[in-house]
Amino acid sequence: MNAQNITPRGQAVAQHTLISIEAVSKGYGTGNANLAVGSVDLQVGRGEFLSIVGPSGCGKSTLLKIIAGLVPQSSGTILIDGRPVQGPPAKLVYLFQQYAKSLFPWLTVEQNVAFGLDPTVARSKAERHARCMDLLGKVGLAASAQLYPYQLSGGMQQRVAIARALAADPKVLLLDEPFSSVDALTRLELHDLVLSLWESTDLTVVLVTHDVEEAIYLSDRVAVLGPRPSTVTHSYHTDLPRPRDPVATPAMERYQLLRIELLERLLSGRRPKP
Amino acid sequence: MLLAWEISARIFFPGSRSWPPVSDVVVTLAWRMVDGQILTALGESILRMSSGFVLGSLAGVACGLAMGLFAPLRWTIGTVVEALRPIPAAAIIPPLIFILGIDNALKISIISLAVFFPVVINTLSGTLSIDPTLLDVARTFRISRTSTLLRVALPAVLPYVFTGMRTGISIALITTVVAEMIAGSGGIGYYILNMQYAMRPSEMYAGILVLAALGYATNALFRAWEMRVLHWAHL
Amino acid sequence: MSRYAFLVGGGFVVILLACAEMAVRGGFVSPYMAPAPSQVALTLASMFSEGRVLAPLGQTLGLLLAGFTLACVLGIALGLAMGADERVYNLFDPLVEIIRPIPKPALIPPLMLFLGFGAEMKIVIITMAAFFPILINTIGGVKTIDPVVLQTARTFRVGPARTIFQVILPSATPMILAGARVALGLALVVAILGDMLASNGGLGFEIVDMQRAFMLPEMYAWVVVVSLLGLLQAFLFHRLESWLTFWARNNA
Repeated sequence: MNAQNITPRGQAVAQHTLISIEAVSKGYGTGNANLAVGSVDLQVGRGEFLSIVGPSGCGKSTLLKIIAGLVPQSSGTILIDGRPVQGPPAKLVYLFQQYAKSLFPWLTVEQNVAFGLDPTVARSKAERHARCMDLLGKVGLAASAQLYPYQLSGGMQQRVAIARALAADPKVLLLDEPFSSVDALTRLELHDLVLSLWESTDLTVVLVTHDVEEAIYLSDRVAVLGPRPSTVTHSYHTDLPRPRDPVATPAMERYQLLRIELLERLLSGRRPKP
Repeated sequence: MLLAWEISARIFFPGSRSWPPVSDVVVTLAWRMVDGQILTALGESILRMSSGFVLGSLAGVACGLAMGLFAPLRWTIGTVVEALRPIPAAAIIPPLIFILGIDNALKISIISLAVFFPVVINTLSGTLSIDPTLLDVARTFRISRTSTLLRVALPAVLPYVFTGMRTGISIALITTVVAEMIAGSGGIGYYILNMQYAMRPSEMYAGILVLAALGYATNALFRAWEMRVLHWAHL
Repeated sequence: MSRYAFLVGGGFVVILLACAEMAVRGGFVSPYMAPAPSQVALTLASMFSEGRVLAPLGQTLGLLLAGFTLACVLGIALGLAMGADERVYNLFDPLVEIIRPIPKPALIPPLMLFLGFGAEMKIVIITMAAFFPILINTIGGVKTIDPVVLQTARTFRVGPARTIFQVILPSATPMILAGARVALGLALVVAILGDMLASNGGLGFEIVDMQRAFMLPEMYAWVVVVSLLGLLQAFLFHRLESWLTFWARNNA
């Protein structure tokens, strides 16, 4: 692959920090004795696509919820655009793993998307409708606007959740294992959908996943969280060309090396040494 | 089955005081409908039942939501509800007669009370089991607390409210009949008991048929309403 | 937390009773409408010490047990048959649909014509009231068994009797019990009502008898006895339920 395929965006990363996580920890129980998240330091650049991988139960979802202001940290600070996070910040949207549970079953697809709209921006009914239909068009669901969530497949439900997230016109998108419960082919489609949406905006994305290949395929950078109490043990720039391709990208040598390296990191301590 | 009723009554119990042929019952029903005896009684019963149902449901939803959202209310009122719930409605009608008399005040109160319990219990458990993900979604979109209550919590609890009301509506009918029998002054329940005392079995069975129809109709109507409101819950 | 909540709740009930006591003693509530709680408690205590509670309590309790047991046996048996076999279902369903919507208390007057005012009438009406919720839930419980469970039984070539008693019945138990809980409440209502209308003893009769005699403390004492019976019944049933369906708790 030649250098022209690497987008300028991918290179501009990490020059301007948007999210700054400094010595953040989270404990439970009296005196926070049961530490889930150790002391995490992590910087996310403006426009970067960062993945956080780690073994299950390592507290990666907790870390993401702390960034989203849904769960208070026990110590440390999180700055977004230089402002500390206290409660859910504006222009930041969280995409839940349980997409089926995160949609409102009593609202139609369009009404669910409209829930994410900022009422001060889209004032008139016609304006809101146009905005929703535009977003649904982007995720390929314009024809399903009047259906209810139970009438959709899992992949379609997750598309609605993505459209609703975009309706809030976010600067930061936090993805909590959003593709873990759809079938393998749908997952590939959703990967490319998210990438195309990310590439056409100035969105910053933080993805939490336990799927190493998903992390490599999507991200500019992959951070590895160790077991509880977790800290960032390693961080890799993927340095893979964009746009990524579901067939060609995984066939690259760099991809294979990263995959082996990350799996070694995640499995170390679990596999008996030869 | 109707045929079996007719034949058994004609052949085995001719002139019986307790088992009139079904044709007699139907004829009696038609006559009492025309002369208004049954219609008046039916109207009274329906009025009591529906007002008791509405009052009991409203109170149940309000209390259930309040108890679900505020733990101190759950500890205090919740204990009282749990303690009073197993008391059969029939047992507290006599004491209530001294306080409320035997008119509609008594009957509507006791029907409301009987409807209140299933509605409050279901609303409470619905409020406690609202999926935290839905509330988190509302938070990440920075929706205000009142708006979250109205747009997220209330619809999420609605299926539970309807489950409570479905139990409540059949209990309302039963309690209406019980109250009219114990503190009789009109209504279908009183009519049936009165006709038994008066040894007029055809009228008595006609009353029971009307009650069965009423029970069937309320159930069907409620189902239709539930389907309309809760179509999204994919019943 | 739950123990703490229980204490708060208990305290709240005591405060409510104290308020009622003061309202009556202070003359805010006429003693012809409601007696003071302490007076009811004293009456209840003397009723217990003189052994006057046992006979009516035993009478109603016996009928309740007989009727409810009968309803359980009949309801579960017919429910299993109707749930498992389409032909049985089609045979009985119209009959069930006709009788079910009748509020069962309305059947007391005709039953009195047939069976008189004695125990038979009361047992039959209690059985009828309790029968339908158990039947409907048993049918529902059998029909909603996961087909995978039945197919598993078939791949192991389990016979029909073992399938019914070791697969179908246990799977349907949570729903059957939910129906039985409703049925138990209804059974108590019609038992009390039957006592009241037949006027020949039992807890319900004692209540209306005292009401007609304007003996309010006694009447309330009997209401308390019935309430305690209801509470005890609900408590025991809850224990039975958690004992029988411990395995379903996490799937709920």
